[in-house]
Amino acid sequence: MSKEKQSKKDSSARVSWGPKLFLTVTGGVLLFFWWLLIYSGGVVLHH
Amino acid sequence: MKTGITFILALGAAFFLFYGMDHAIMGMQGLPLNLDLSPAQ
Amino acid sequence: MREQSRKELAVKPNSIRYFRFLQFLLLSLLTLGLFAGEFALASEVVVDTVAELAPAPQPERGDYPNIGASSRAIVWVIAQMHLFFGALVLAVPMFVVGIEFMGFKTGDERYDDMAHEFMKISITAYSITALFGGTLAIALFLLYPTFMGYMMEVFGAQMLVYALLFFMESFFLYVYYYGWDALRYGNKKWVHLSIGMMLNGVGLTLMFMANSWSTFMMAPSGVSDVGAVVGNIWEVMKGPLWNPINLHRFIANVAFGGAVVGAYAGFKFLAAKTPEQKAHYDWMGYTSNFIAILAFLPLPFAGYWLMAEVYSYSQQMGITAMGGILAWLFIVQAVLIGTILLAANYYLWSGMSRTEGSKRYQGFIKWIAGTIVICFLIWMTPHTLLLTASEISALGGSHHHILGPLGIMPAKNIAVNLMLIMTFLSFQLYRRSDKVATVSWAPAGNALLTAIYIVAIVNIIFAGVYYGYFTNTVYKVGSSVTQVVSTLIVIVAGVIIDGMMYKNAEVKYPAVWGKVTNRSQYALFALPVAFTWLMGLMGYVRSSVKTHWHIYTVMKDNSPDNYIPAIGYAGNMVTLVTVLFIIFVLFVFWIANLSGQKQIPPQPAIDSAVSGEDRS
Repeated sequence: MSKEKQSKKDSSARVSWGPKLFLTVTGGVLLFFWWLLIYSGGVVLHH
Repeated sequence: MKTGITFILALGAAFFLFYGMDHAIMGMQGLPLNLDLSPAQ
Repeated sequence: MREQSRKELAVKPNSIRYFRFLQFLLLSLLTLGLFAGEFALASEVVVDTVAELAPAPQPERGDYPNIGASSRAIVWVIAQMHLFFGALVLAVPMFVVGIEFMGFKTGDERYDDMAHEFMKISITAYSITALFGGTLAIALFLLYPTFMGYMMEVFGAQMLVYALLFFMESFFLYVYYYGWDALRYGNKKWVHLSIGMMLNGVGLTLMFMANSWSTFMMAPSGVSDVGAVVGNIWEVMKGPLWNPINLHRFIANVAFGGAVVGAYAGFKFLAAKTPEQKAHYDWMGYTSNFIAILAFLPLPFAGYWLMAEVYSYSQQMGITAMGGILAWLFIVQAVLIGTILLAANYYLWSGMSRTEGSKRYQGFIKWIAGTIVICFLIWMTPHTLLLTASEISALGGSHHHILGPLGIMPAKNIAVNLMLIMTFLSFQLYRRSDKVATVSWAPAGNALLTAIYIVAIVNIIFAGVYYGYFTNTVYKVGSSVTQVVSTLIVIVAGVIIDGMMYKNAEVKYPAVWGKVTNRSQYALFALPVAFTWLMGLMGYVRSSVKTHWHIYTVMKDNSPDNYIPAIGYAGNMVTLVTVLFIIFVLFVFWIANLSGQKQIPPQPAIDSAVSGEDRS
């Protein structure tokens, strides 16, 4: 549905790699936060 | 009459939902309940 | 055929360029993250060999610079302003990206325009955040040099990483805002959304890193009893309070940000000259209020987790916070949250005037309002009163025999859960106002929903009263979870059943945006004021639970201000920073307005024709 609307608005570029980029970036950000906040990496947390 | 019966059935369903939830949630925390919802310990 | 392939050739290189550029950025961020880990290991080695397990310094009174004014007061004001604006600047892009995405999916331009307008506020606020941040750093180094020296020793390169992240934040913020129209459609829009995602990622990382300094001061980790740095940076950062504060501040920022942009919408609504403007800003106000309330609902539970971890870390600190000297502040907190809920509900009830269909539900309002008010009164009822000896003997004790029991946690839990259910009900009725359900099972669906509400409310009251007053402590505390789950069942059931029931509903009474009273906009003003004051109040709690320590049990506070300030004084300080914040926010709104204005060029003077000037 959105693809149709996109081609109406911008005929020079089809939506192809855009969503993949967004999902990669989002996934990367979430992975980063898992690493920053959750992953203890062998570090002993004394609580 | 029909709305009355529907409502009573709905109340019954809701009652069982929350009753079951109370048992489950308290049980998960290691706080078991009797059938009348009083503490079992 | 040839034309098409030529077009493709012409298009692909640019898109690939953008894609590669963003790949590079993503890789840089990940590499930076890895290097941060490297720095951590490296600094651990350096600390071991050079610092040789030096304990935390214990400054004397004379080690604290005196500039003639209370150092604590100065840092308090600057820090609080930095946190207010930092919260705003982090929060706005979070819901802006969501709104932008909604606009993209639905094709409705209004969402995109609103998202863009919200970012305009963020840009000016960002400068102010940085200004207060820089000033705060200077004030801290100037007024607490020994403390800051130790913090540098503990956190090391992490603070430099924090500073470097600001370059990334600035980059993504400016590209996201100024590239809005250039990256408007198709694949470029996805690029824009990705930049927004990176902006939020960097912003949140900044907050998480700064949070670690705060939580280290409250519950130090990675250091010995005397403050010698024995752990690496991860052990220092990942203390017991870090993730609870991260979650709490993440949610609270979104609620706070929603409230502030709601005030912007209210302000612009009242100043609107045309019906189109009124409709636009009315809709903006509704969306902001929705975001604020949606984020606000889970906030007490994040706060509960934080307090639970505080108690778990140090019973002493937990009791100081909620059972001892700071306990009264949670009554003040109750007043503020009650205000927020009343204002938010009032806005929803007022909003029902946008549609004729709301008349069916207006009868509910007085019951919802009455319940909220009663719950509000229960929630703010204290347990221990400040009494003189004669008052105690007149009362027959230090607690009132009827109202006293309302001052303890079980009563509060009943009250807050009911207030949240009532708020959800207001919202649900508002959402239903413009529609009529067309499914055949609507009466059964309504019966089930009504039953769920009733049984949930009964369950919450039963759990609170029975387990709260007639069983032991462990069951009392455990029953609070069944209360929360009851509230969640109402919300989830409400969303699901309404979603199904109104799936292909007839919008029989379409809402007219802009058709809402002026006084409802004042509810939108009340929200950020209450939120801001609440944030300031909780900052006072966070700082005071450390009592006379800079870093709890590790580094004593020996400054002239090494005591918990009295509530009256703190109240004045919080009011001061709230008023200051509002003044700055008005400046931000004014700048946003100013940037949209264009002075009309002066008309050529008639005199020149008279004087014979050749104007051809």
